[in-house]
Amino acid sequence: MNIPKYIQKGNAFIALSENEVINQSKAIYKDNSFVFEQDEIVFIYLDNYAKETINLNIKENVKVKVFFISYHSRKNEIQMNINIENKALLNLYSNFIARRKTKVNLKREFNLGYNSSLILLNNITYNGQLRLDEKINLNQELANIDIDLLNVGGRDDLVYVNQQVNHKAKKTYSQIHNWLISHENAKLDYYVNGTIEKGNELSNCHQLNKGIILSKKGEIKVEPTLFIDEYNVKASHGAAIGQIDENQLFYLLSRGLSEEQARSLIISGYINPFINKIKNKSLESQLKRRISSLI
Amino acid sequence: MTLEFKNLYVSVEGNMILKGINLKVNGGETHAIMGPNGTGKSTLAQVCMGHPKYKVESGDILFDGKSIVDMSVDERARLGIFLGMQNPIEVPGVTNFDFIKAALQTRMGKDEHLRVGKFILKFESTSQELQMGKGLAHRFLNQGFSGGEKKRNEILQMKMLEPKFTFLDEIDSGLDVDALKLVGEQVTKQKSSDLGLVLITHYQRLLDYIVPDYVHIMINGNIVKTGSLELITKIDQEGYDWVKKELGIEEENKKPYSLGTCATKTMV
Repeated sequence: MNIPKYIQKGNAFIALSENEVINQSKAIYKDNSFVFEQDEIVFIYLDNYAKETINLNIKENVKVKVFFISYHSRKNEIQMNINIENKALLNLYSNFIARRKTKVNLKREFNLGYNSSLILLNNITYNGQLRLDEKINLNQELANIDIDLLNVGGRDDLVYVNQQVNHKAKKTYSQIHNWLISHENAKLDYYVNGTIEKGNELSNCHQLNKGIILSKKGEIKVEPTLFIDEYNVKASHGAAIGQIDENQLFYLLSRGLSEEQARSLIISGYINPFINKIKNKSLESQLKRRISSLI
Repeated sequence: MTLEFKNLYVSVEGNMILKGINLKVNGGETHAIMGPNGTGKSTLAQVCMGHPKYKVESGDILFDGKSIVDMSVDERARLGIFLGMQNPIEVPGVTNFDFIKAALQTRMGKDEHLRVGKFILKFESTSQELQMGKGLAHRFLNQGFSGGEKKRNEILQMKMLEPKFTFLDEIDSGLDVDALKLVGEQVTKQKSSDLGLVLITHYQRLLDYIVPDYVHIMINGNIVKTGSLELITKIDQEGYDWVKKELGIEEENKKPYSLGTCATKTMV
């Protein structure tokens, strides 16, 4: 398995391919499950892996930060189940990289216990077709998630994302921020759904979707939905999709920036808050390079 | 160094807003343009900056004798025109530091490089002079700023970019008494023979701190009267009706039109 140097260099990592599993982390590996019993920062590297369901289990009170990097050069289907036990924290950054233009389907199911947290950063700058289905179950009180997703599509990329958050207990919290940019012929299709079942009062469910279309043929479609069967909750959803704001453009031009510089600054302003959350220099610069090559 | 509007006619969506403006501003001069709402004062500033919503129907704008009407917005800015806006725009994710640095770099030649240390020192001292607080460099451009902070940030940009001609469009709105005094003093400090200043305002209070050399009254898209400080006092006491009576100006039957950009929420 050819593991990129930036992953191997001084980092704890888990690497999976069709033929091999390398575990250089504190996680215990058994029956295709990785159990985290200690706090850790770890890379999970997938090299065209599509064999069996990957299970991650974050034990009670444990805090884990995972940089999940998945490389693809052929059609792959990946399934993951992630269990975050009581008072545990998973900070998960995901990036899907195409070695050549291809199609990938990823299904992930998250289950959260009492007062557990999931901070999810999804970087989608994939060349090809990507389908991401994410189901998040907030099973016990005070379980909370914060999702930021950045999708920059170029050429004829096709991205379909389905985010489903189920509030299955009282006082649960979810927040989704999707930042979408479509360039050239890219088509980005999003279904964002939050469900609060009856009796799960004092829960919060929020969705914010913003999209910029930079070309005539680019498309962004977002359907934010809320299904709420309880009165005593706070919920919000919305989607704002358009071109670069003309007022912002005029303001920057009026200070001497060329149109190209102004557009580039506005776009970097749009994506920088996401990049700043990654907290890994090589992954941050990798993403910046990727985005500049796309737009 | 001169900026001259010659018999300028400007329209928006088929409505003529400016109707034959003639105005000459020399370097070192401060002009105040006053007038009732909707007479075209802001339009004059926006047209000079090259806002695409406005159409120059006839006439010309000359910068040192050369027409700038066909120049793009950024070309005019690099030439030395600055517009301190009535409603400064928020640009999320872009820090003040990066923005002003980028703006300064556009004014440099191919072989010139921005001396970052010197730039930081100037930014910090200007920020202090305007009482903007220490974290300004890393705050996103105008995002979450109070009305007063936005206006002071316009002055900060003016001081950093050192333009040759500056329009300050209602820079006094949204400022409390202390902030108004501060802004007035800072703008006055910036006055020199290298800066032509055009102040657009409704009120005398700004002009207590930035004393103009010329006062113009604009009504119905034209400058109808020019004078000096005595005009400000009279306007403050009596409004504009006396000008209309004196010059026999009748109210126009205006059709509504949308400028579209004022105080709209940014999408991004």
